[in-house]
Amino acid sequence: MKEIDVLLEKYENCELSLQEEADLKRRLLELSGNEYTLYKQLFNAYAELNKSDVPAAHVHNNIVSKLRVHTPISKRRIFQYAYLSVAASIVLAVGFFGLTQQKEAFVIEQGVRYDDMEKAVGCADEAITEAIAPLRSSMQSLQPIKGLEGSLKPSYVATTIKDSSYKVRDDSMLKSRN
Amino acid sequence: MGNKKKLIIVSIFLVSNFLLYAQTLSAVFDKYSEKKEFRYVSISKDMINLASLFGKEDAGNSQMLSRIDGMKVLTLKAPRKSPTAHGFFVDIEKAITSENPFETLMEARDNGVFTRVLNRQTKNNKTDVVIVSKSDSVQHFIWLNGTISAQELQNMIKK
Repeated sequence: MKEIDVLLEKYENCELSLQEEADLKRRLLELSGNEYTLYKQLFNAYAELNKSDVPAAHVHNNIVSKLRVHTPISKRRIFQYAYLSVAASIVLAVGFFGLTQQKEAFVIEQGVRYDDMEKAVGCADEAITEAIAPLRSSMQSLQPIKGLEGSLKPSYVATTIKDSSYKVRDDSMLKSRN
Repeated sequence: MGNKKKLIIVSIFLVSNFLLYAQTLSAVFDKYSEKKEFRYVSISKDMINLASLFGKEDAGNSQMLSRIDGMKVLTLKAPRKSPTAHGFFVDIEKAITSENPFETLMEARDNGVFTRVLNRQTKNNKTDVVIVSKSDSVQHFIWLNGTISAQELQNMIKK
């Protein structure tokens, strides 16, 4: 942050000493180009004020209203509010989401709500049991297939696993087959 | 358009998008939960844990239950071909085929009951599991959310 920005921020917060304010004014007037134009105008206007009959409040309001719309500092403030509103929306959304995830167990039957854990668990259990009944019976009917894999293996392969004494015989069987 | 307005519109869009992600299934439960023909059950994570503590489930099932974040059940006691059931199934179909659609894990038909189990991955490695069961007298729509594997589901069904 430039020194001039620090001074301007302090100026905005009414924290400048008279010496610092004079320093700020000097720095602003020494600047060339369009940078800080409105601040230059502000300080020039206050300088003019001492020479003319224009009411101080009028000059102040006029310049400050321009500053609020156009200067970088005012823009920064608008952005800060925008970010704040975004953050607030996110907090609200998360809060809403959190609230909907309540710790509860209930049943709504015939439009009437029952906050009864036992009933809720019972109803859920009944529904799940009924729903998965066809799957359960299908799986049971698939059980015999489990042993089918072993049954389909040739006998000489199956015996080698059980007893090493058969291995010799099995190998010889394999050789004779080959 | 001012930057402030743009930012606010973008933030509203982002927030609504975030909420809509979880709303498609919830919308079905919200729509039917208070209808008189339906029975609606909702059990939160803590209550599932409590139930598994007091229940008679074996260790494997209790372990799986502890990883369920929530459970919702809608039951309609009406024939499958009734207009209410038809509308209900149309809404379910829309919800499960919407953004981030479900995949069918298992389906079976036995004694006039047709059941489909579907799942999908959600954010933070969570899984949504739905069970849709249709029969001539009672229809069920069950939604489980948590870290549930297909193998665990299979084990639960076998027991």
